[in-house]
Amino acid sequence: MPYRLALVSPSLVNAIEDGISKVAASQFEPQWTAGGKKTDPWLVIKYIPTKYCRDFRPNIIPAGGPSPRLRISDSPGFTWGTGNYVVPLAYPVSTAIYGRAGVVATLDQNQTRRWRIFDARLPANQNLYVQWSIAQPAFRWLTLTCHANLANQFLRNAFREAFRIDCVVFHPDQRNAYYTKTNDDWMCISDWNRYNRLARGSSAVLQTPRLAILVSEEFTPIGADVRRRTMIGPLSAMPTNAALASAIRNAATSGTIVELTA
Amino acid sequence: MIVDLLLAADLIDAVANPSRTIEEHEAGAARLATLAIHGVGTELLAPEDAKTTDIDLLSGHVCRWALNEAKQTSDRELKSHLPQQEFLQGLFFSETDRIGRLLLTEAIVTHPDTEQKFEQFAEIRNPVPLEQLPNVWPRDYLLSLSSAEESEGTSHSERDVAELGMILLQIATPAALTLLGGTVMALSHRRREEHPLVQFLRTFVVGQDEGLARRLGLRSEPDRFA
Repeated sequence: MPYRLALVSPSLVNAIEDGISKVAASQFEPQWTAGGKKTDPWLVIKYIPTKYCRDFRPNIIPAGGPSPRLRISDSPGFTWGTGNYVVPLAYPVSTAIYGRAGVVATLDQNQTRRWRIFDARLPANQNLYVQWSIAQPAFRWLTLTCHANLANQFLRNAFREAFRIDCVVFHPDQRNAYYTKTNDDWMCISDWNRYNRLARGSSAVLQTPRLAILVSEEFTPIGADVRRRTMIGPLSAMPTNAALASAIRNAATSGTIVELTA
Repeated sequence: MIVDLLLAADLIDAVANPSRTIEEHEAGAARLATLAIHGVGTELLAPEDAKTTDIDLLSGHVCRWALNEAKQTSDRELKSHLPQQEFLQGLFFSETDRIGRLLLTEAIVTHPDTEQKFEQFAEIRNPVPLEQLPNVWPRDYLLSLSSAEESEGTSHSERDVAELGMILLQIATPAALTLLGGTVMALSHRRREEHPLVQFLRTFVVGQDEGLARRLGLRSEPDRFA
């Protein structure tokens, strides 16, 4: 089934396509292989609330049985629409503010090398997205509505479907002084259904998800702010990202769990 | 009665209601993942047996969420079907905000049931009359609006056609554009050029995307190279 139409001029379509074609998946390889060798699996982390992490414990998943799957997030509050919000292993605790249980998943390297990536960290690409959204026929409705989150989610999903974007890379839009740095890279990863629309339900892109790290911290929003406050710590200096990535990779490989008490 | 959805309404509200926080959405999503691991097929919650009397039992967010759940990843077999058109029509009328109507229409025309039925029209180059399109909502609603306009010329139906036409254009999937092309065809020839939908479409499409203009029946001259 064809993709959604972009509904903008050919010149803008070409500029956006050009922006996508300039980003090769290989440039993120060091982030996905962090804590390991170049030939090691490409790993990402998604943090979930601890009360739902039990089924991802490596010693509970039956050997040879069906693997649990992570659920695709459909929260209107997330910046880039429907998808799985993960971080490459290079930023091992950056999204712990959303849940203390870190589930590590593997990316299929053959598939991922073919990803169409939109690098939303770049101002030039941000401008292209803004131009595209302003040119949409219903832009006035989408801007004037009181349902701003829903309008934003609609636009982001439509953009990603029109340009068949497998992954959006962006800097965090929520903060924590110890865990989430402004220059970390977050990723919104797309799953597709057979009709080339963004899929819901269980993710097929994030493979063999396993619980690999538990963070001994609680986070809470500071009012309606984008910041998340740590409720317990910090209790000690945070290990470096490189050291944590290595520990988490080893845990994911060996079926153990890292406990972080920083 | 959509028993499963009612039983799950509180759970689903946590993932579907935009006024919940990101943490609540993520906790709801993690809980659904856990249910799936234990064999609960959440895609079966689609309200295919819903009746119009059920509309006020659930929020619009929950209904849209349930419709969107059918968009499973490609390795999952499609199991859910669209609800009856009466229910969808009632749901559309119950949406008081046009963004709500846009999102509901999107959930319906990108539902795998609809996509499957419109697959044969994916590559068409010219509009097809509404009567010849698959009987999926909002086809009959568009037909009734067009015929009401033909006989009465009411500004009410003119406005409704213009809004739904704009919604279909914004969705821009093959099914949505095929329905839009059929709608343009259904408008009275005599008044078509004055209709606000046609005027908007001419401004928006013609000169920018000739393929789309032809697909919507907006080309004023026949394509010599077709």
